[in-house]
Amino acid sequence: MASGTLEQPPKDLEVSRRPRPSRWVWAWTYAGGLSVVVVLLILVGYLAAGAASGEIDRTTLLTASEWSPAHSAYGSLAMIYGSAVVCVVALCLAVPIGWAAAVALSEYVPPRLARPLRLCIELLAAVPSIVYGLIGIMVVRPFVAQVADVTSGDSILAAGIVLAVMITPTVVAVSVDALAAVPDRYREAAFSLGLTRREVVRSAVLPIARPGMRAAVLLGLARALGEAIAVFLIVGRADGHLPTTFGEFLDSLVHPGQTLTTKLAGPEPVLAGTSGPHFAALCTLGIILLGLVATATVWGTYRSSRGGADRGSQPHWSMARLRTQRDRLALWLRISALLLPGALLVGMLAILVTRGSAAFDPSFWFTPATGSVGGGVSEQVLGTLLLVVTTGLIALPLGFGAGILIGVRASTRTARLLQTLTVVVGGTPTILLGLAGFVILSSAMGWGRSWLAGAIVLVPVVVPVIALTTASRAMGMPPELTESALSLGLSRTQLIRSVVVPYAWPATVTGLLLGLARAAGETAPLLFTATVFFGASALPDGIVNSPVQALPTHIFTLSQDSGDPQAITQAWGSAMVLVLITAVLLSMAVVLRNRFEGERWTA
Amino acid sequence: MFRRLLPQIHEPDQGGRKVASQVRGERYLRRVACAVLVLASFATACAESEAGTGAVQVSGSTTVAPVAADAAEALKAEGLNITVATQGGSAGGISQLGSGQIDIAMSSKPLADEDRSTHPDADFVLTQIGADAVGAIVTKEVADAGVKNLTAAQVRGLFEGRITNWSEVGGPDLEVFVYDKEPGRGTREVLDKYLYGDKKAPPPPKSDNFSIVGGNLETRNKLKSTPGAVAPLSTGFTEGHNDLAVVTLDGIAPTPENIASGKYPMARPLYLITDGEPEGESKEFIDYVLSAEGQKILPKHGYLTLGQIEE
Amino acid sequence: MDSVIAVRELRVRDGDKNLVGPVSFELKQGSTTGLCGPSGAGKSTVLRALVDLLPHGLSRDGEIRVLGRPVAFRKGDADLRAKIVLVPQTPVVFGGSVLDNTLFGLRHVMRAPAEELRARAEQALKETGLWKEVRDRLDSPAQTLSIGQRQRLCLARALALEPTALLLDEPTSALDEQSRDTVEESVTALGGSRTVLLVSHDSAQVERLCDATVRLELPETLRHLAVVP
Repeated sequence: MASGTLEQPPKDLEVSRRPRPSRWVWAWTYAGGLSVVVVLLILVGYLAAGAASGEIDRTTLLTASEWSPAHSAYGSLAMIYGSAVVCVVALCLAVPIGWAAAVALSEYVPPRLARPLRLCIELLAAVPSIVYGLIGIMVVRPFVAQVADVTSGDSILAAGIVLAVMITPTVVAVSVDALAAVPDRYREAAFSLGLTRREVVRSAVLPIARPGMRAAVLLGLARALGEAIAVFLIVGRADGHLPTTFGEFLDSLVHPGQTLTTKLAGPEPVLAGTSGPHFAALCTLGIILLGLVATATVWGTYRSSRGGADRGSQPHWSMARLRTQRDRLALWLRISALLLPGALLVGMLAILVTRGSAAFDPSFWFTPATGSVGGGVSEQVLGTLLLVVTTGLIALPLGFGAGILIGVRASTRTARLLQTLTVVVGGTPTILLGLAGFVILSSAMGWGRSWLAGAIVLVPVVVPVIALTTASRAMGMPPELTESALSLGLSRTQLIRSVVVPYAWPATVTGLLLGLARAAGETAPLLFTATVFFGASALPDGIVNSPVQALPTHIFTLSQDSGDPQAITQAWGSAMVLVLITAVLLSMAVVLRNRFEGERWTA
Repeated sequence: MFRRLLPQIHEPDQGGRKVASQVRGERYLRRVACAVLVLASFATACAESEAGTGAVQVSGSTTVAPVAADAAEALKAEGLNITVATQGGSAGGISQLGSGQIDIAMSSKPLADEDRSTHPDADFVLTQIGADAVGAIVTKEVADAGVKNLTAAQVRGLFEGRITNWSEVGGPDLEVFVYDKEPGRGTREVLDKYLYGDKKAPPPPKSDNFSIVGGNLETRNKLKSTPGAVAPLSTGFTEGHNDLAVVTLDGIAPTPENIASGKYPMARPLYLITDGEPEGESKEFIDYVLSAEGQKILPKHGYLTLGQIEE
Repeated sequence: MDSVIAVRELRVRDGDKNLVGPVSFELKQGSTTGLCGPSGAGKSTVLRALVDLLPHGLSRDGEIRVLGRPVAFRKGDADLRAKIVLVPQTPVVFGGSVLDNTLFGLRHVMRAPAEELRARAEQALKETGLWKEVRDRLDSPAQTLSIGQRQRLCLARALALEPTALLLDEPTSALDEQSRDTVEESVTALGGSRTVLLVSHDSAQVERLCDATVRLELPETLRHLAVVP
């Protein structure tokens, strides 16, 4: 073969008629990033227009705690307090348990056991919110009532606990992804230095997995702030409770309260009309909520990155003689942290299976509904699948692109900004998406109730999840990979296409799953834009005025106001069907992902 | 293997398919983008061509929805295409009817003045299809200890958080826990009307033993699990639940006779509302609900038929 | 002999701090040049500076001429890297088969029919002595290779690009003696046909393989860190 000789003219160095120039990479990733920004702009625009549509005293709104539209009293302080406390409670419970369980899954449990366990935990993330809410009523309320010796368990604490239960699977799933991406040679190297397993995890594995685990918390936080239905059922929704002393604060934990999200998810946005002080106050609440999510994200990312540095400087070999004991303690703590979600899953399945036994009759799946509470749910199943698949198809390229953009621009300020915006979109209460979608798609564009409007409204639910999981994986990519690829002459776009994209892909699949699972259980935005309770044809034949029926809205309507005992059976059966469908989707995608991960890239 | 997983990136390189494969790689996302664009343009095209699919659109109160859905099912056999949705409850249904988005609104409350004033062009025609008696429901524990009847003043005291222990109204020494319905619910409006007439209800009490509930099932569920609870709830929902009791209000029980005669203070009518006299398929639908067969649906969902309240 | 790469007064800085250099040297066509010096003198950093792969925050000054032409590493940096290929110290194996890995760079810089690509892969694998070991499993995952084989695979995929110069960063530091010998044989085999810059801490190795040596001293700012034996 001819080698590069001095006869080669220097211009040869520049000539590039490269195959795979992959110029679309930037167009694609920027489109993804842009989609996040556009969604946020639309939301903020909608809210700002709403907030400007009526005269309200904004200072009072922020400083007063009294809320009574009938008396023109608009104060949101108690709701801000409620939102903050609920989230703090949820994070305090979910993050340590979630992280410990993730470490146990990834570092302690043998892979043969870990994979099914991980699937189970992802399945937990897929249980529709309303089921969590119903179980909260059945289990958590009585628990709080008994422990705190109060009459009703409707309380901020109960809401926090249920939220913690809801976000733990998200935290675990995303953290496990981050841990799985740590190359084995780091563990090998640390073990061979004589470190105990606890020390290996602490000093070799966690430092690398940290960005991903942080993303897990952000995702959990976003979900906690944006979650409506489950909190709605147990927080009590009592306005105006704001403690002034520490004793009152403790007391307020076990008594009813209100959060910004539940206020927005309640009937008031519908009753408030489309302008006037009440509507303006509600829109301002929406803006405050978005602001809170943004603040929490900025604070969270800033603090944890600094916290990491602090920890590194602390000597942690002071108790060297208790190493084995501490190692064993860590083992037990982590394994028992894993048992918690496991027990939860078993309990939840037990409830679902006993209550939703209708779902095990095949005819329930394949026959259409008769009337309000009879027959099967075939139309709802088809409608849900249609919505989920369409949403996934639109959200996957956008979220993946946005995630890659954040991931490869990790050092710049724009990436951090984009990440924050993404979390904010993820933390947006879906009711706001529904209202904005109703105004834009159903009314302004004249689609009426349309399945496509529903799918589009669900896209912002899925995109942030995909983007954040993808980004954290891309950020954690070993620098040697980048260096090796670049030194072989790949351009930036080729690097992204041939190295970053395949490297981040397994995490993208996880994100897609978690996002779609969440979208599949969404009720609020669909009620406004896409679904009817009865009478839609199984598959729509157009876009305008082509509603579908979907399982979550079906469950929601059935669990509202029917005196027929059959309605409850039907609702639980539908819930079980929804969980089973998500389970099948999840397992299919997990099989795929495990194959990708089996070929873990090593350096 | 890598290239099996991402065929658009690493094609097997036999047979000179190299160039084709890399082009395919680029096309992959373009195709997705195109699909979205095509869908979007298709959608806007449809917007002009086929507005309205001919189905009768019914929307509104979650209370009436199961009844309407059952009626729609029965009429499906006769070729009538009816969709039932529950967006925004009674008020939402009326507002959509006013702006011409739907054909029939379901409502569990009479029209308010605001409804007429916001939609001056609409000619709302109300057809009552049944009624719902709202009771002040307490737990069996409370009822057994002597609380069988409450006066309007007592109910007001309870819901305003001034009466905090059942012993104040002749019951056991037990803390009161109030579940009030969220605003906009027909049940809540019935209670407010009973307690305050045409005046505005006061803001919710600052009591710790006060919380808001939504649907009837949720209300029943929470009532049953909270000792000393009281809540407004459709009486139909307490049938067969022995741990709940309906108290008489000022000595009047929510019997069909008392409701028909208007003596019982907390009853609400259930309506189907049209813009103008019902015509065509809307009329067929409403007529069916009013027919003997259609009326049978109401008790199934816990409500009173027209026959029961007109005796 | 003409110089393929000429470096004059190259420095690498972290802000105001001078980390490497100044260093000047020339690589003659077909020569194998050793780059040695004490730990911390920045041998690897020099290699990265040559192909503009410095870690974030470090900057470079001085002049680099490639084939007699000063290079700025701006728009065409990827093309330059395909001509002056750095083989990093740790052998990175990408996902995919042995063949995929061998052609990893080439597929991104050259449009060619599959047969030609395969021929070049074969040629590159032969040059590194890997061909005999992997000819039967070109399609099996590259992860199954031993560490010595991986190192040679990295070398092979650089050679497949037919580079003007090869920059080898401690190619044998992670290897056992036997693998080291095979890698050294491959490097020797390149002698005359390729221009190689070899970073090594092993002076015997430099002696064995190189026909010229560049010594890199600790820059003054870092000299106090040097351990005097």
